[in-house]
Amino acid sequence: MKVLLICAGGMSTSILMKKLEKYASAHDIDLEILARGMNDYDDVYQRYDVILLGPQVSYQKSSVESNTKKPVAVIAPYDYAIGNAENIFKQIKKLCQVQ
Amino acid sequence: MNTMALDERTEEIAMAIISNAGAARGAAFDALKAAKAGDYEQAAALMKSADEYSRAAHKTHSELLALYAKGAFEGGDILLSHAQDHLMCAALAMELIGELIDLRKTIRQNAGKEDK
Repeated sequence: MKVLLICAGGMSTSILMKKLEKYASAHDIDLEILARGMNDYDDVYQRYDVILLGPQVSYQKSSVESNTKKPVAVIAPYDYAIGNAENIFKQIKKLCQVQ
Repeated sequence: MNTMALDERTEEIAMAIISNAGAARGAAFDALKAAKAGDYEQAAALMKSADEYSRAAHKTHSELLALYAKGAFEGGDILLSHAQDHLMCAALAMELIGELIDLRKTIRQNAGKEDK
């Protein structure tokens, strides 16, 4: 699965990305993932299947949806804070099914 | 606390502040959207939720300051300053949006227009 993470500046999603990569390799999940900021995803989103947003940019969900025409979801603040990879992967799988 | 444990703890603290401050900011902007659509009840509920997230973020921030006061840190940490940036952004968004919602209400009332 190819997942693009977007937050305000790409910093906190980079930390989350490391946690998701670790979980994926421990659970044998095929994952291609990238973290970008809100103003910096235009040139990369085409390569990804689904997009997950950090809670700090939740209110921009509809604009990301209309820009990218990809399935978009917002990560719950609690899952984001503790880097709950299990829940976040459940969310990714659900999004992939939508697609 | 050894360096590794402190690094992990600062990351936890930073992510908790970013998530909660971020959720507060997100809810405040959703409140503004609701108010623009004339739904002040929904706007008030969203501002209340923003306030709850913001309290959670500030609580974690206080823990951070307590650690700092105990001398746990030497110098700065870029992730922590990033987290504080989020916290201040959320605080400003909430204050301004609260005012904007009131302002819209007053303007609509003075113009004799009824919203929900």
